[in-house]
Amino acid sequence: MSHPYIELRNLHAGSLSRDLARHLYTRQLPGTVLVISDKPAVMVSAIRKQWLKLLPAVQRELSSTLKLARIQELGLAALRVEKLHMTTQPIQEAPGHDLYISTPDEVTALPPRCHTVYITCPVDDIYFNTLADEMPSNALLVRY
Amino acid sequence: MAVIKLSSSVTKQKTARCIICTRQRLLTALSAGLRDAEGHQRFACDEHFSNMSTVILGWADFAAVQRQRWMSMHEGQGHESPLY
Repeated sequence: MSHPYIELRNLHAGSLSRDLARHLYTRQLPGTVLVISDKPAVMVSAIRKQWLKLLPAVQRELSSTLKLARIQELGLAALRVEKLHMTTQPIQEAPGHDLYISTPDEVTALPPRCHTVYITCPVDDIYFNTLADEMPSNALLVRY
Repeated sequence: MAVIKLSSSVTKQKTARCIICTRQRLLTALSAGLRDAEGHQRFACDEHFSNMSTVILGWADFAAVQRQRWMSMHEGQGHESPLY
């Protein structure tokens, strides 16, 4: 059986939400993202705050480059940062969002076309392995 | 940071090349980012995260090249791009 890529991240400095937002920026893939947290309401605010800090950074690079290909990619990236919709509601109640933040118990199934999952709270090995088994082989599972 | 469980094609290497600085690094020093035009997972050094300007430009240039490659490989075939 093939597994998703699994990445274990340690926070040496800075906040979890900052690291997650920056890491998420590099995952500009179609589909949805799932963040598993024991405090979704706090986490969504923290991630949103850090995520929106990326927008002026991308726009700054966009305004200072002359390369056409780079301008196109930065334009797409800026649009994605601006339009990314986050929610703490379950997928059944809030379809169409890009990023779902749920507690471990709330996750009964992965969102559709989910290629990236972040685990930001303690979960046992059975939970972790079950989640990994449900993910497609080209997906990424990040564990803090 | 460490990549602890990877598909066989990656674990055999134990190292991968950073798409930003092109250095060959241990996977433990790398963060997984975009996939390339062939769908393979690609990485960048963790240390670049301290300078988001480098990260933003590095991944933008990488995505531009991969998008071009993917289009030349799949033009007219209706496949979904691994990139936005």
